[in-house]
Amino acid sequence: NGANAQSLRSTEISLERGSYTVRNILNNVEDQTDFNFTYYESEVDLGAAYSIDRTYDSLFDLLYDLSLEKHFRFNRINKSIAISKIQQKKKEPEIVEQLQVSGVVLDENGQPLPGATIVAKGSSIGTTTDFDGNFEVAVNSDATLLVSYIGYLTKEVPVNGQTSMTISLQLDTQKLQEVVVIGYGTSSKEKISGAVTSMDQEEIQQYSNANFDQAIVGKLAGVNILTNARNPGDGNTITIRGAGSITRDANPLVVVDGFPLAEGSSLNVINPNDIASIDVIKDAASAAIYGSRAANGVIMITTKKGKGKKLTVELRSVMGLQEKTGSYDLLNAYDAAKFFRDGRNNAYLKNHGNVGVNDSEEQRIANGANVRELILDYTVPYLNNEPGLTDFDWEDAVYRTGLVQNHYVNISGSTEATNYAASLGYTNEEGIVITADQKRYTTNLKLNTKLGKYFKFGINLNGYYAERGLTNGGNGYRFPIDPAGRAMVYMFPFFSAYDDTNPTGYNIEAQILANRPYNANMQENPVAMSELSKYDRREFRTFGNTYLSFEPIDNLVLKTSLGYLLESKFTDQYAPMLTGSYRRLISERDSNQGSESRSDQGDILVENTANYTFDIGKHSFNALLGQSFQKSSYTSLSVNGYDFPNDIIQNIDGSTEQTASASRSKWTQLSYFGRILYDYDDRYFLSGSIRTDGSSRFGKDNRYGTFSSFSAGWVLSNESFFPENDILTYAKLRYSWGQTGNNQIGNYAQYASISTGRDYPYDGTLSPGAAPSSAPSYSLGWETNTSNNFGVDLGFFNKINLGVDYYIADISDLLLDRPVPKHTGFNSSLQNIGEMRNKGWEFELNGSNFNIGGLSLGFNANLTTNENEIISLGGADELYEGGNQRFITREGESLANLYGYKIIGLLKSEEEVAEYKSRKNTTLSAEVGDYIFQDTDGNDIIDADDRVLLGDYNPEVTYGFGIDLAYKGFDLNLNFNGTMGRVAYDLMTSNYLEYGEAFTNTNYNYFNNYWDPVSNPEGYLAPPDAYGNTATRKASRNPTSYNVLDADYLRLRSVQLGYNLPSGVLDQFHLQAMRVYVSANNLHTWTKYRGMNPDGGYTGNPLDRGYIQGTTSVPRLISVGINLTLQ
Amino acid sequence: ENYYSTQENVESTVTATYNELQALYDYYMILWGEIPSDNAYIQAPNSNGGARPLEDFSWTSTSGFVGSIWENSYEGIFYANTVLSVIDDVLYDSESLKNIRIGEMKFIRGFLYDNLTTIYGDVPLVLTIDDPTYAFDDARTPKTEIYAQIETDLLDAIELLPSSNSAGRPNAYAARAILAKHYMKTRDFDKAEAQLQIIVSSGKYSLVDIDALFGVENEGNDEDVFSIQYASNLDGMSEGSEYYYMFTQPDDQGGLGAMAMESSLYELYAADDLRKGLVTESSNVYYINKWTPSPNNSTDDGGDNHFVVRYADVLLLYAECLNENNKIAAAATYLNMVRNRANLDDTTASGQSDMRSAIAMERRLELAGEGHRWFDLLRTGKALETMNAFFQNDGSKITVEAYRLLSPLPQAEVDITKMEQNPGY
Repeated sequence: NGANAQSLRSTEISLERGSYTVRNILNNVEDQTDFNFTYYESEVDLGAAYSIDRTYDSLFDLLYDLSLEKHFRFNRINKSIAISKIQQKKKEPEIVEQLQVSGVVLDENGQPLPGATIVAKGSSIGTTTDFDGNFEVAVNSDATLLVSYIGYLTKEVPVNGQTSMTISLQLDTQKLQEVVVIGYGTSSKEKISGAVTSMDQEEIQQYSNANFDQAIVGKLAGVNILTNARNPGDGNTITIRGAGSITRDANPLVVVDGFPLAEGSSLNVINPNDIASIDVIKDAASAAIYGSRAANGVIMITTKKGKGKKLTVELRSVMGLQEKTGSYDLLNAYDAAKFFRDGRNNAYLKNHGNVGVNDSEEQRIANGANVRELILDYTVPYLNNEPGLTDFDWEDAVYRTGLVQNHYVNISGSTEATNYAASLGYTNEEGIVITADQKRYTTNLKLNTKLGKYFKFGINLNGYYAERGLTNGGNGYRFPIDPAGRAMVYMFPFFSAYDDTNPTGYNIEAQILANRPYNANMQENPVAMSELSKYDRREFRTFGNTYLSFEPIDNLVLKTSLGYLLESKFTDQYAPMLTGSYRRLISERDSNQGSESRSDQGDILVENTANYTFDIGKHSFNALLGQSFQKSSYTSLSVNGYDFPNDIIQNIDGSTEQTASASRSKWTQLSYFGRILYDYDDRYFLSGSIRTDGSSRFGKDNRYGTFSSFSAGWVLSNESFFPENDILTYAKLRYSWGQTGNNQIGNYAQYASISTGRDYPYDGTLSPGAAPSSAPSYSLGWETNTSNNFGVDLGFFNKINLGVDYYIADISDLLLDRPVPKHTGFNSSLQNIGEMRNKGWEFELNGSNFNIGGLSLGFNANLTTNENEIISLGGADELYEGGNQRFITREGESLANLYGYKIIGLLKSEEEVAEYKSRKNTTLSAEVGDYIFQDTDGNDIIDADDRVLLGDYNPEVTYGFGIDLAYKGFDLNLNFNGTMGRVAYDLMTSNYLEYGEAFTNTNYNYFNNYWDPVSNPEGYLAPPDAYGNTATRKASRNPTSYNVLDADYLRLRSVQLGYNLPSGVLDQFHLQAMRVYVSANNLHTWTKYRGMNPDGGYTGNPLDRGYIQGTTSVPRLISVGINLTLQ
Repeated sequence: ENYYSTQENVESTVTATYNELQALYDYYMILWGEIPSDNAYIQAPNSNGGARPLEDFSWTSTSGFVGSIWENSYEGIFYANTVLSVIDDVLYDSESLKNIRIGEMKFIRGFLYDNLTTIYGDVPLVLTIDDPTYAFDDARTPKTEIYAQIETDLLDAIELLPSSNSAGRPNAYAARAILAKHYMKTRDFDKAEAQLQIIVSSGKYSLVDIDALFGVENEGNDEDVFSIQYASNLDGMSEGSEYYYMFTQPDDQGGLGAMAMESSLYELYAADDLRKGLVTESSNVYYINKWTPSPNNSTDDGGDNHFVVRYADVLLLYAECLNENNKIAAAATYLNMVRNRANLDDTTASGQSDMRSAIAMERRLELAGEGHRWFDLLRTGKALETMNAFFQNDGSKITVEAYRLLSPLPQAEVDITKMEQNPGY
């Protein structure tokens, strides 16, 4: 409208010369124009005299003179002009002319953007949009509005006299303004000069799962996650930038809303639906603020907080079915019969002269055959190919299709002073292995409120309760064994797991009974054993923190926070009479047995920080000073009970004999830290941090460790000399250096430990003796990671971002045993003496907002290389691990190389044996059917010295890539991940499936390729032999060039197709948003690996990485889901 | 450190200290005392557990026994130091028991340092507990300083230990005996005589019949001043000794014959010397039979205790002191007590020098195979003279050089500390 567009200068006014009062003048103006005045009478002396001695052309000139004379400040907003008194005596008059502008800010889809910021350029005037994206602000009519929102490109909008505007923001694909959580504060991607990689809520949601670590797989460069979780709710092994230790744990630190969890904690406690963002800090410089806990990287998790004035309710539900993806490819019953026959015949032929495979059982016995050289009588019908015989698939019986449900509700909102969010999550997941399941309940509460002008107060609270059914990872006989491991392969397909005539419904003893006369495998039915016994766990955890902050002057925030964690686990196992005991019939079994154990952990965390942000011209500073104290204590108690009178009371109370064991431990840490972030004109960025940690884990003579860091960044594209162009739109160089520590050295490693058994018979009466056995190490400390990081960030076309990092991390002070002078009473002492290096490249590439017609396209890709080298073992030449030295760790090589013989052939006849023996001696054996091992040292003697390095488990390359498509309301995303340059040694393959002992079932790779002079003369694998393994055969059970497997894979990790309902439909149902989708996890894996899961190669011991034992398949989950937002 | 909050736990380490003596005396300390001397030799081929260098004086700083005696001795000292450093702060049932334990630990520490200085000469003196990596800078402590500590420890032990017998543990008399022997090593025969006189005049000990002296059934007899305890069939057969298995003639018990008596010694026994019955001849090899076979199928589960000091030893030491102090007639009295028990007539020796030889001879005959002879030769300064004469008679080409009177330090220790190796090695 006209009046609004009219400025004071263009408003005409006419007043006669003469004497007036101020009141007269104002009345005149109000009469002659559309403007009216507002003022406080206490400020404006209306009766004051004012004489007009000139003619005014415009209202502006009048007010100008009035201001000069009377020290009035005029502030025009639309049609009203506010008058106030200029407090300080000023020469300059003040007339401010403003427009009340209102408008709405929309996102790229035309949806309102609540919480967007609108600021008048060059001023501090501004506001934010409400929940509907609306705003109102009074600005100078010639102002330019800067409209910004996290994740969107900031837009400049000149007001040009408009009072109503609609502003659309475009997604900032470079995400430079994205908030990055850096530990005791936040920054933006643009200002960070270290190596931080992030994921937001949307990306996390693309993988539908109960645990967030699954969602990260393949998404972030430098972050390698093995998908080796076993039971629903188990965590995966996370490694950031390579192996961090030789002998100790190397878990990254996980910090949830500022609370650092104990390293290696269960991540099941955090519902991925509650996560707003995940930031992974990879380089030492950025992580150094966490000092001695940061050497293995830090994962910062931020949960959702309330925003928007309206109460918002978010509902998410997903349901699906999951099943296994891998397989052992076990023989069916007809082929298994042939395999067992061959193994038994070969043994018979080899051990007795002048015998034939067609000899009857009586003839064989007469010839002195061992029972393992007899044909299993019950396999004869199979060998005769009689149709319709039992052909039971044990893998199918042990694995199942499981139902998965995930439901989540979140209520959030904010008022003037307070924002809040509260959630409840429920997960019910049947695992893919029988008896493995979980019911999980999570809550998250977040509240921030202003208390008056200076104080803020907030609470974060996370709660978790789960009831879990577990499968045992071990191979113990009494308690539920691992059904998906060795037991399954021990079972013969001639016997079913089930028996309707048995009251239990299971066929418990069939294989034992049938195989006993033949000394063949007498494994008990693992399906029955798992189903009839119990292995349950209840877990409860709550943690959180409360803070109070005080801002005495602008941008100086003093904050004190108090955190706590309580965790309790209760594990309950019971093995009834019916189950348990390899080789034994029920009637021969030991008593039933039960076990109960509980553990409790309690942490407290007290932190005080001062944070001050200030600018001096173009120099911006952020300074942090802080202090932190953390204490953690742990207790556990475990009771085993034996001889229960019956299986009715299945708890310890029912047992007649018990044994108990208990443990407790504690550690504390006191820290001081500081950091300065500096930037100049958005072009140069510098930061430095220092932290001192005192830890009870460190030796008393080395109690405090200091960790410092430095980083620098330079945004070339913000320089005036940088050519304006549309191609290379952003360029930044980064460098960082820092030191961090790994304090996962055990709580009491510095102390001597006591060994018992040093007894003495005083005059024939035995007394127990005990004495310190390991040496105290009072200078024992953390393992140190010193890392250099070089990075480049490039932006192309404002749409594509490329980040490249090169890192070199030198890990020194690694804990190893060092021989000490024996006059101290000790042989060796744990010392910080080893040294290792990790180096590699990381590439992250992403692009979005490629629009082709209505189709919008985005992509992401990342690739990481890691090269590991042992620099020093502190004097030792090499370290071995695993039975028969399966793994070797040696200076100059990478950590944990598989070590064994290279197979170059197979001896297939007596002539070949004779020829071979004429050339080579061997400390092993050289018989028909034996492998020929490479004579590595060329001394014509085949012995242990001929073993070679067979590769390691650390992948040379890990990568991931994905694509996002959107069309109208539809969206589709696909994500892949993979590894290259990795080998593994699989216990199942090497010791059972392809060993050919004819004692367990085998796989088709072995069955089709074992040598037989008649039926398979081209076979290259040693033939089955049920009895009388040769030394060479036994050696081939350890790593060899045949059984060390290529563990690379490429996996279609997730596919999700969604549909967002259009606003018309939404309005009809009073919904804010609604999305329905179908999702698939792990749809397909491309791999040459001959086992269940190539990702299972981490036992927790860095020295035998790549030893795959007892791992289950990665599940494939197909699900449908719905997300609803209500207001 | 938290472990040592109860009496029971401190007691466990006291016991571990004795356990260390058991390991020390199960084999090498006996061989070291006998094999280099003119008493005994390694008879069985390939069965000497690496001890053969003791016989031909070819040991080196990497010989196994050089390292293991060092290691076991210092472990024992470490445990004793551990107990001594914590026991003050632990509540014991009785203060007197606590004092006895302090006495026992000082006794063992003094005893072990006396052994160490005899074998290695100067050794590092360790009396406290610390981070072992601080020991890389350690050097050898002069013998005289250690002697002062040995004297202090044993005098303290004499004060603290009871005079009554306590199963398997030392009493004050045992401490006096060890101290006397130490004084004799330093040729302080006055002080030694005084200590031994107290033992002898106490009337607490007496000589028993030869056939009631050795054997499991005779353990704890009136002659036992201090012995290291072994027992069969205890603790998974881990508390027995190897003596029978190692030192006696090969037989169906699995005896190995790692130690046989020189025939020249055997010939010194008079025809009717009762102690001759403790020696068995088999194919012209003489085996000392002071030990009992294991009652079970484990060769190292013999039950015999090992006499560190027995009364006959005390009497002969006393005689030696008296003789050195020119009380020759008195010396004869105590020498004769030992001779008479063996069914021998009184000594005919007269004059200090003759008497000295007679006493030395009697020690050989009386204590053969019990791990004393080589240390006696070192103590009396007769090692070179005796052994070179012996080898000359023997027709062997071995010449014992003076540097052999001290063992080398274990090479691994020299390599990683500031300790200097003994000359000659």
